[in-house]
Amino acid sequence: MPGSSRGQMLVAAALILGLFVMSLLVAAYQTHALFLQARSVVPREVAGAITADFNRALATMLALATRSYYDHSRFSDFTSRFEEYGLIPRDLESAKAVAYRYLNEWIKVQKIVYAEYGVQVSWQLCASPLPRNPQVYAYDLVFLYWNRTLDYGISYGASYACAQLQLNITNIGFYHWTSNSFIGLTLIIDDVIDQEDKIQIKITVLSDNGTYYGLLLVKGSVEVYLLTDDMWEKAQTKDVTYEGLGRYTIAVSKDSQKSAREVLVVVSDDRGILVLARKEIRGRGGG
Amino acid sequence: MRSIYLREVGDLRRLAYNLLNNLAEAGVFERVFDSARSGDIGWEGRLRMLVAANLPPGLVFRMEIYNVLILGDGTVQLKRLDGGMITNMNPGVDLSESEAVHYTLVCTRDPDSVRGEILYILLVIGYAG
Repeated sequence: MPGSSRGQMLVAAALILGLFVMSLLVAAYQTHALFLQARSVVPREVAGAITADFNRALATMLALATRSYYDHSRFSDFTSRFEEYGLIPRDLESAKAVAYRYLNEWIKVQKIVYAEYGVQVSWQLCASPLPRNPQVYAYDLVFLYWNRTLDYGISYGASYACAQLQLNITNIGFYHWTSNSFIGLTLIIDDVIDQEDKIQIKITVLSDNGTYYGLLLVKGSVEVYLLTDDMWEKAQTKDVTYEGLGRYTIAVSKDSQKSAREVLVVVSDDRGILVLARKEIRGRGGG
Repeated sequence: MRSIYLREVGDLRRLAYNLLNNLAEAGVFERVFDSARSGDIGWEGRLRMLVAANLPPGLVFRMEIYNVLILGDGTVQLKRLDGGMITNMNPGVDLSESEAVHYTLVCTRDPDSVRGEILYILLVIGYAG
């Protein structure tokens, strides 16, 4: 019948049209998904870059605090630039105040640089136990724990900064990223041996969370001071050997006329963080 | 007729961030900044070679480096350090399917004279169109 065949044609046409529209929608969706995949902002890399720079900012402020506290004028190329921030030589509290201001300014820079990603970034204080000395916590942003003697006579020094970074990248739906930054340097004097013509010092250097620091000879520095006649004198370093796992042996010259009672070791890593530890010198007889 | 295909330029961003992280870890930008401040005119060429050597062949790039200055009233100012020479693009060649990445770097390595300064680095990587 002519009427029913026209109806069948209409139904068939509507079905074909529907399939065509649906395939168009699927194609459009796939193109959009492919575009998003191909043009992604790579949140992992962005978050990684911001976190790495926060660690650098924290390390720089720790370096500033340690250098100013140890010898402000000697490192004046660095320390004097922060005097207008309120840095006072040998004053840890002023160094902490400078670090607060600097980190807040760093936050402001991040918001400007990453504005197109809708970055929201902030930081807060945190606390973390010191490597090889878990009873003691680093807190209050910058924490110096120098020239200490632990149980069993272990000579120990630590310089640490601890803060938590909080990050959102709102334009790509990346929220609640937090990262605890624990930055610093640990120095342990394992042994000091008085020999005929030299003094041998065995030390262990750890970085950040207790990672062995093996770059002391390449990028860091080490200085040794001897206490003779109630005065600290810089010793002439004859040799430094890296023995792996963060352990070094330092040989320094000794003055045969004077008898040194104590040794002070000052270590700096490649980020400029200083740490100090001191230990009494063991006699040649092993006493 | 030019073929129509889509390159995944998200990979370019990953590549750019990895490259910048590696250069930062090696302390390259501190030395570059120190050279730029001391008036050394060759630093842009050296950095161009370093970046070009670390990118796969066929990619072109342009890098801009700024010193971030924070003024007394808290405003942030960007002072461009380079003269537009950190690029391997020939004049008149356009970038196609390019990606720009932003990177900030707090100078932590030696020398002491640059420690604590903040740099802003803009790296554009793409294909010559």
